[in-house]
Amino acid sequence: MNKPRNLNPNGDSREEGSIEAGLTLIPTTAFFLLVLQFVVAGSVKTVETMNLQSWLNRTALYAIDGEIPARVLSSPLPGGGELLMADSSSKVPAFVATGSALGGERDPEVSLQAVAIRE
Amino acid sequence: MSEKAGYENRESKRSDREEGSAVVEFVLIATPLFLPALLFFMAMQNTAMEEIRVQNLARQTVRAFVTADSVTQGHQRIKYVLDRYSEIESKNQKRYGFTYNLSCGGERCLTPGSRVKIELYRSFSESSISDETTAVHAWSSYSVSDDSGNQQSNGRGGRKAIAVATGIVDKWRE
Repeated sequence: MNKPRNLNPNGDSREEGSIEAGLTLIPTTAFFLLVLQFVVAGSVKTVETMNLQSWLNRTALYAIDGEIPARVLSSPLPGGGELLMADSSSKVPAFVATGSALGGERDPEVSLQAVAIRE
Repeated sequence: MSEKAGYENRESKRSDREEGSAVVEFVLIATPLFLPALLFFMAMQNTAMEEIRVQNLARQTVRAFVTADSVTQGHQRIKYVLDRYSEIESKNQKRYGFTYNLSCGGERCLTPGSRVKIELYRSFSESSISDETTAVHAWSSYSVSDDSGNQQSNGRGGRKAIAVATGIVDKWRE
């Protein structure tokens, strides 16, 4: 037996669908989190690069300063002195699950580099 | 008045209804507005990061130059620093894009006490990352000029980060 259609007082059928409208928030939220991930990753990269560069400058001027936060490569410069290069990576807070929950991928990381000259 | 008038009344009410769903309209309108904003902020962040990198490299390269024994060796040292940095930065993909100008305050660049200014440029658009030339390109495109005749280095397409650093040749160097 067919149910009668839900009619409003004007007689037309109601097809507003608040649930369906709410479903559009899912991709919007995913997009928002993705943007947040990009912004935070960029900010972390900037801050950590400056910290690494600061540490390498101190190291070039004086000596190894405290804990070594990066892989430091040293190569001689033509004519004397040496070039110090630091290569490191830093973890970024994950706002979007990229498979890490399933044990697939690791947490997102940003790579950092710095150079300094030791005379 | 009758049935016909009632029908017309219903039809006009139906066509006047333009409520829509606030959520759907928010998504449809906000997303195209936010997308350019996202692209803009990411480009800004990329530019800021590149400027910081190039600024630091300019400081290091000018120091490498003023501590050299000769001008030729100074250029070798600058090229060495830029090459090594490019290698460590882009492990798999080729990325260089450096060009630079050197200006010396004195007649001779490495006279003790003379001021040396470097202007370091780097292209960093997406196309320049994939379509990268080797260090030879930048090495061949550098130019040296004095204060009276600053010369512009060869440019490449895309965005360009520019940094200027000044160094003074140590007075105790002979």
